[in-house]
Amino acid sequence: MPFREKSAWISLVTTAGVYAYYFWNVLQTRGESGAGLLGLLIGCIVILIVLQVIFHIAWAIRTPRDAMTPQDERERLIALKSTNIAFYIVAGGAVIAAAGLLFDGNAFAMANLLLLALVAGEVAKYASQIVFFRRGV
Amino acid sequence: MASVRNDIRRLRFAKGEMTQQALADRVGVTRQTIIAIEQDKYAPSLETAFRIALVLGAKLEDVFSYHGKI
Repeated sequence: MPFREKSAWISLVTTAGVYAYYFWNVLQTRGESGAGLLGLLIGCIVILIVLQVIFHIAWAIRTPRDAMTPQDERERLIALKSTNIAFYIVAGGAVIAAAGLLFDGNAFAMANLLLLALVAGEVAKYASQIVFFRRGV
Repeated sequence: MASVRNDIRRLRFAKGEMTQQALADRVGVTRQTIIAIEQDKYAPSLETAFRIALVLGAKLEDVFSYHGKI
């Protein structure tokens, strides 16, 4: 598997896994204020970064030539198209989160809805990259 | 069916069985991109198309052909 497709898989699995754990904890609060969740969120971000760095280094050691090759035009096009898809998801999530305020939503819920939109955008970006790498762009 | 098709695979073999990696290195793209072009999964930019033709020692129209509607 080419390095960049593998990189998308690493990012997809680690992002989905770490944030699934975070949002599972958010759901346990049942909408109440989760002041203690800030520490959890920071911890999740740190773990996510560490996991991604470890897996990317490990894979780069296995395929150094592939990892060192700069992006070419097809890979840049895939990155652009995937980011475009992610943008619409993040924008949609932001609108939903903002609309939540009109229906008496609290700041805690709104902040987590925004975070969920960002994570969904990231997951969609990596997933679409994998699809473009495999099926063509 | 892709609207831009190519004859790269045949031309590579006619050019002393040039490998995909060798062609990729000379053109300045990754091997995966050459594979995607050969399988009609990616239509390269005009510049890359010219570079491929140049490396293969062929005219652009001998390497790529258009099968779409106008």
